Amino acid sequence: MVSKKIFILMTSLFFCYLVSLATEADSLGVTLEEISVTGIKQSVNLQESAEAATILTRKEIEENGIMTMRGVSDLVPNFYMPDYGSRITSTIYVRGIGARMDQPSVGLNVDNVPYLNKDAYDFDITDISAVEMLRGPQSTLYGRNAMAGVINIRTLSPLYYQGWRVFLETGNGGRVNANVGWYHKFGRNTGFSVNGSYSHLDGFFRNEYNGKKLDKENSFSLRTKLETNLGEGIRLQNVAAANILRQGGYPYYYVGTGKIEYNDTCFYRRFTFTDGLTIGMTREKYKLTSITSVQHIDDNMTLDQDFLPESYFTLTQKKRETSLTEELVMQGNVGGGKYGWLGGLFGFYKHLNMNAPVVFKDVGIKELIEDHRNSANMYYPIKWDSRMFELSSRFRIPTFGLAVYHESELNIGNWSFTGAIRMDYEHAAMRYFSYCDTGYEIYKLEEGVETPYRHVDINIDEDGKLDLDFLMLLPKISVLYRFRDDRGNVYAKFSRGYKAGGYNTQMFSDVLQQKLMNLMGIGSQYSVDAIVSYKPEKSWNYEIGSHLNLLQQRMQLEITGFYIDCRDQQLTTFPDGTTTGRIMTNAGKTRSFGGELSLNYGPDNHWNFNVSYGYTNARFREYYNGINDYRGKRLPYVPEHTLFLQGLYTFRIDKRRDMRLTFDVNGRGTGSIEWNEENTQQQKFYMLLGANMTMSLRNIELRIWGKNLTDCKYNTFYFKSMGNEFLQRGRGIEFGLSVRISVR
Amino acid sequence: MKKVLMLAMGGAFLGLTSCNTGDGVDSTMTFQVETINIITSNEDGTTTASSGSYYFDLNMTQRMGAVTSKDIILDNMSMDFTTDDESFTTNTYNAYFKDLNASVNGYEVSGSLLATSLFFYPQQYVGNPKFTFDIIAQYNIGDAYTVRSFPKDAVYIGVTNTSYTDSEGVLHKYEKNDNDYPKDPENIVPLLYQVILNPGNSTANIIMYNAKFSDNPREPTKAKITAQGLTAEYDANGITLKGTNIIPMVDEGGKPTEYPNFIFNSINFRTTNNNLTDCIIEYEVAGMYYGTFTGTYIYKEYETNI
Repeated sequence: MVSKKIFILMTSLFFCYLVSLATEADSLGVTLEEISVTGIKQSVNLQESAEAATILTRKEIEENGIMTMRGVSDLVPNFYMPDYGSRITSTIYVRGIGARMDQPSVGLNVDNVPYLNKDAYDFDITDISAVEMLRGPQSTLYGRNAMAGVINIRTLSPLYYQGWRVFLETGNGGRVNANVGWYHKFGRNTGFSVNGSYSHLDGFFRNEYNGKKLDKENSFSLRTKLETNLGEGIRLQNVAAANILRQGGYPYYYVGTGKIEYNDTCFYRRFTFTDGLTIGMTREKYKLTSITSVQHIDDNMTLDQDFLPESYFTLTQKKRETSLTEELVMQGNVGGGKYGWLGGLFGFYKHLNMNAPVVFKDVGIKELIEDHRNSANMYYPIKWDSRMFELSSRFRIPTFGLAVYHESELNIGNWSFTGAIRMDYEHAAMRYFSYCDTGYEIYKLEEGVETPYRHVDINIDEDGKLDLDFLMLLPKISVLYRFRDDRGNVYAKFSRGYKAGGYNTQMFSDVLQQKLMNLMGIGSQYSVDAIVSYKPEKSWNYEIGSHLNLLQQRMQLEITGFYIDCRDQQLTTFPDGTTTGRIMTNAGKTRSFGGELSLNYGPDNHWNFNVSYGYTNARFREYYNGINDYRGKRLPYVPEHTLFLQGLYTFRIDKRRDMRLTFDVNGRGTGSIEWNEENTQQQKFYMLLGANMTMSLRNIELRIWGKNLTDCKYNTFYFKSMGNEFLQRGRGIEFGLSVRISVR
Repeated sequence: MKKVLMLAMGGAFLGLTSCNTGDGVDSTMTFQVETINIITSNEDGTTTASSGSYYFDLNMTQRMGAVTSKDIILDNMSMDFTTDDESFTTNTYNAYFKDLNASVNGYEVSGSLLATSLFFYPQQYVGNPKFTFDIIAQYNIGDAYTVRSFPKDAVYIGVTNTSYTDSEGVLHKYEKNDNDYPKDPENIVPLLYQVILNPGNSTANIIMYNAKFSDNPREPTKAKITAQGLTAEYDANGITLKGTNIIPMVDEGGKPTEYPNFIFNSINFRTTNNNLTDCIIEYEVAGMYYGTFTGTYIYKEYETNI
């Protein structure tokens, strides 16, 4: 019902436009913005290439009040980044491909620096020059974990912008955002900028156990950027960024009671630091670029793992990961652009240290261990020595990889033919250390009387090492035809994508729990390798699309259709013969097909319309988890439709002072989403109505905004823990006021 | 069973491929294998079991060797023999004496004897490593006796079918097929049966690893459950073990605890082929779970023509 109302509203807005055609239009000098993104690996403008790409400029990001990566995904078809309760779970689904755990499916590059750990993906974005989102496998040029796509973010350059930028925002939920950026040019060739930001949120959801808001958040960020032209075609850029995050999070309500109510602490704390040095040398016939980066992430996720008011167990995951990457890219063209080529070498090393203890508490010991054991042997019941004990796990995971790639493009008349290949090698190792020191007493029950029978010590002190190697060949072929008079193009593309294999440390608690039960005599002991290791996931992507410039360049239209065949899908299964444990395995085959439409239409200097629609039909072709067969079922967590509708109207209030007023009404739609493989739990399609009014006066911009103005009720996440179902509610009405000041 | 060979073999792999050491010295090999030997009188069919062992002294280069049986006793009479130095055929896993050439108490020994490392013995479950070879032997001592050997300690893998009726009267059936273990990526926990014979007192134990008698998620998997004290009978057909109302033991913290909840109302084992490598085990547990297992302790590749 709400979705229909929003659609009617949008349609009404469009008719208002039609009416306005009858009025005399004031010439505001507003034109559709030219999109220009310079990339290291893209040799041509993305809209003139065989790519399904959405490019957002700084203006569009700021107009839409986008502060995080999630906000970006709202505007891109089939690109879905849901809120799963914490910034550590930066899950992105593109065309049905995504990953909740471990390796990401979408690559992220910020100022050319590849982010290797998706736990750092969800951060605040400020003073961004442009964001590119490329949908479909980008593995040939970007390598590991770009199976579903790539996000490239470029921050504002001090060589092109100088001055101060200040942003202040407040809103409901105790929202405060502040950002200050200083951009300065020294001489003609060197620019330097410093950007600092702070964000705070009191939260929207309350834990009924203690009455406190639990999705509270504080974040501090600092970024410096140095760009300099050294002469003779040599350019250098260094971007350093640090972020500190303190977040509560996890507003999961138990379906049984409808309440968010749990007794143990949940939080997420993170520190990240990245530094990326890009050196480019441009010559007449070629361009050579070196990108060197270092990244460090230090975080702590602590959870009340049962999310109930009773004390079952808690989980802590502390990790420190440092990564180094180096990439050399060379590109050039001959014959006046008739033949273009690109070649590159990429290498990386990352080292992860993780400490992930699970603490069993009173109720968990009783119901999950004692009762389970005593139901199997009521004549010799047990009692645990203490009402709390810890299963400790530590890991060291070094990973390194090397890749070489090449792309060639042949342009003949209006045709472009592109072929590319990448060879990607990766080695991952895991050293694990497990420890537990606890025990229990066995009693003998005779005539209703329990007498001590024997004590059992549970001592686990083990370590081991695992190794994996992967070698992948990743081809890409595309053909593109350009229409005359810059009216656009049509293309077809075939490519292979992959998501790296490795070790899922979150499964290690299953290993230890199985070991514990095995020592107690009532559980099988699995091999560590079988439970936690998994091979790469691979996909074959077939795509056709078109970029069109219509109505005298006032309408940009992008249409795509795709089919994806995914093999060796990384899934959890239950080993044959038991339901007490799960393993990570490459057990599934899936297929996904659908289409996308992106439209931007600016009929005149006042109006602007944006439509972004994606459809994905993603299903299992093969998936038997040891208990159930899910063939034909929809993939869980993948939205079938994504929709963004927007109408903007701008008029000039005062020409002399350059004062303008812009009204924006928008709708963001998602769904339906299946929550489980059985397809028995679903979130129906929903639309969130947003609106904002922006008044701009030369260097000052005042914006009043609102989201989910109809207070639509929806859920963003579902999961099961110990057989209990949990959902995460989406946020209700949000509103705020922001001020942006630019002084040049 | 698929050719999985080394992965699950408990004994250390010993290549039996002959090789020349390179300095003109032949490659030799000696080892001893302990067995249970089932001796059947061809006259009246009476069968007894005797412990014993076989000692192999092999010249791998020449493919010549001798086999000595030790401590095989029948009615206080030694049935030991030593073959002449005779030829044998071999591949990587087997040494095969096709025609034994020996005598015992004046009787000619005739028959064949195979030493193989193709037996199933996963140490991750069973624990202590076993001797490296098993013996499959069937030979006659004159016209008087037929002797067949059998391991004292064998671990079987195969297919288990169980059924149980729940509290609402619904019959549940479950099949656990481990024939493709460990190559089957969806099956990493096999249900194993270890049979340990004690001919001295005609008893035997059956140990089940990763035992689950149903697909009921509430029934826990027993890592190691032991039915002790089955009575052993040896006859011309092979070996039969029987037990009734046996309270099993489950290892907890490395020591056994009685598990009356899972009493074996009946548990029966018998060999089903002439070489005594295959078996069937049937059992009833706690008056509600019924199970039938068919399997083997040895990979069929031992039959490869060598």
